[in-house]
Amino acid sequence: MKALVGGRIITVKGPVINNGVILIDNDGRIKSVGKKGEITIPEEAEVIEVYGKTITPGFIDAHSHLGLIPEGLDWEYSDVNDYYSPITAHIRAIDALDPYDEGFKDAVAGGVTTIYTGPGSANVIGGIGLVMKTYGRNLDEMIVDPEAAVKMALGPKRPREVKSKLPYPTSRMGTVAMLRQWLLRAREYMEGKMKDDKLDPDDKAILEVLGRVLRREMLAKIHLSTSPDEIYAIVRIIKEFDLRATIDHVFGGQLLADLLAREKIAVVYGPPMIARFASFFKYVDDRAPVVMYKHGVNVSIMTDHPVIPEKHLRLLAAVTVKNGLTLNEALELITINPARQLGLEDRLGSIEPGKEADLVVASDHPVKPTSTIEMVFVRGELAYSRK
Amino acid sequence: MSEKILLKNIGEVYTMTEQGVLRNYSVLVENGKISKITEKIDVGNDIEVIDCTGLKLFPGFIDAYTHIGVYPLEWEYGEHGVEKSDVVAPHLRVIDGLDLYDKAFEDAVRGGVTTIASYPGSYLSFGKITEYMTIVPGQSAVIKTNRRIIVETHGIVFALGEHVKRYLREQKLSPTTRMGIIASIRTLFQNALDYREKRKENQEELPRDLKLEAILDLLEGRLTAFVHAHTGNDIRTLVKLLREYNVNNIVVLHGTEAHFIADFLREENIPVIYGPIIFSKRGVELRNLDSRTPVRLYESNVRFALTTNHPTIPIQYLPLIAGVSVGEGLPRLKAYEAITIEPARILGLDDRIGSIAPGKDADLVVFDGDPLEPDSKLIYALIDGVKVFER
Repeated sequence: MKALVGGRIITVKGPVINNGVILIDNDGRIKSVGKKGEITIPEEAEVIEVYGKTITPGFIDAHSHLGLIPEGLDWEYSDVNDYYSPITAHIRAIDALDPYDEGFKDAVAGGVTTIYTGPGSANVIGGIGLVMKTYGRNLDEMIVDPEAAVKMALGPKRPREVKSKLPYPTSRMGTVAMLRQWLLRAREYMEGKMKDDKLDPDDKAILEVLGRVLRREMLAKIHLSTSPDEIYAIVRIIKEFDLRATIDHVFGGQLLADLLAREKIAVVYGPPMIARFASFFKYVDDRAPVVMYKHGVNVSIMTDHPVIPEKHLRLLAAVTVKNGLTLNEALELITINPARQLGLEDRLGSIEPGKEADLVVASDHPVKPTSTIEMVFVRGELAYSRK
Repeated sequence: MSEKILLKNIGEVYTMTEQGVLRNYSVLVENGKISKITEKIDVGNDIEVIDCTGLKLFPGFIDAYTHIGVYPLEWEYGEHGVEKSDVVAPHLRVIDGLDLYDKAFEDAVRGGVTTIASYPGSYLSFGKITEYMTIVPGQSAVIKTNRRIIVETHGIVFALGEHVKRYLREQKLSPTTRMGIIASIRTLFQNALDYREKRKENQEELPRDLKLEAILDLLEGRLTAFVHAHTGNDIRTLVKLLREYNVNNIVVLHGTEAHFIADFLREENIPVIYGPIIFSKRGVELRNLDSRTPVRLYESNVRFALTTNHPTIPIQYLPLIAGVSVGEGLPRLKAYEAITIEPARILGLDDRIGSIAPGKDADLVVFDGDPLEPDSKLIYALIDGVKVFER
């Protein structure tokens, strides 16, 4: 058992506790949290003094490519987009993931303890991404859900030099049509209307995966490439197939915050901090997550690592403060909101009894970039210490 | 311009000079310059008074390494940062292809940035399909963010590293090694010196050569040499070559591994415009990129400024980037210096910008809190004594 004693605890879901205590049990879960004096610290507990420090839940990034696009290496080690076909629902990020990538160490040092990492956006249906901790002795220990979500990506696709099984759609219409066609086929396949023996093995594997998405067993992460018209298209698809889904990137979301709030669709915005250097980024506006938050949309912030390094997720939360959120509101965007989006709100995203003890200890509010992260715990284990 | 503005009762004036932080001072601005910094001042009614009670005044921030105006909307109009027909092009001037109406100038003001330097060349980004860098892409300029160009031709960029080699290979050009690249620059320097002699002897028969004249501007000290490199070895190699030709003013751009050669840089008195620190270790030459490096440079007494390298990180976030360095362990005052007086010194413009002192340009920014914190707001900005932002 461990006891963090004396810090300011930002619980995220409950009130801020000054001079608080967090007890962590031997299974790496939070046993109790409260004011010092109101919580009995068992004699056998290892006491870690954190007077004057700020404690928050570990940060969660719901959209990253960490471990798939390598740090410090060249393209030979990059396994994020497979041009085998525009429909590759059956390929899995976990089969390429490198848990020894340096980016994981950096991520922990930046307070990021849980990430979704998965295939890129080159394909209409890119494959299966996973949710994992950034710290653990081996990959098995790090994995939270090896098949957490299927990546779908709107927007025109760029034809490549490699020969692909199916042609790539080159317009936004073409991409949506291809996506609908495969979801409709999967529905028929689920209903037993397609003969197994007539399917090629790839297609069968693809339809099996899409069936799990249609049964809402798996999350659909639907990527918007450039502009708000794609939000309409994604909303149509989510409603037509009753998907459990998030809209990722959601550039232009500031224009459609009403719609997203009304339809109760969660979004993973970003990454913030990119410049409008190309015409396809003309709807990029770092006020978007703030506008959507204020409309009541469940917003989280992505690094899209390596676009912004995983380590700097909290800096991206700071950008939303620059644009009008409070420090604690911004913290929700990298803790409880992504936990909800990934279906992990009963395990992660806030400091409360029963949740996993993924905790950040910082010199000040960690959404301030000037604060220093001093300790990070993952499942109650000290995963990073500045000293 | 005969405008006068008085910034009155300023809570804290961060002068960035030996005067340090002055409390409850007033600053008088006349004809675009700072004319007085004083505790008490009596002025007539003919002048605008801005009450700055409880606010903090800083010299306008400076980003000494951006591509503002070069890539306003890259894919619409093509690549303006790199001239593909000539991989050694010291005579190209960024001001001749720079969009002064790039929205980044407005964004800069919103972030409290009042002066930027803009360079030809490539920038780091994940949105791009290709990344070009040539051996010598051209000359930089220094521009106030009110769109006034203050130095038209400031320095020449020399680049070594992965991007240069990759570009040459993709275009099926030579040289193909670092040895060859360095030799091609040395030949250029030698040609420039020969040209100078021949022009002296027989001006009429030798046609003018802008490329060699640009190199002479460098060798005769009228331009700065900007060493664009990431690895310690590449930085050192380019510096050695420039020293061979007695180039005095040398500044390192990016300098990802500058901390590996800290002793060398300190002994040679070569500063680094470091960054962008918020970028992944993409590829081999960035494998040692680390947001902690500014702290290491500080600890080894290497002079440095921080940069966004806009559009890699949008210009308005320069103060947040300085905030990240504080989180990594840089003293707060050093972080302020790294976006004010240090870039001014590195650009050789510290007699005009980067600090608050009588006679300096009145580029001033007023915040309601610490500008490195995300919850502080810019309240006023003045450039050349003219109010360009008011909340």
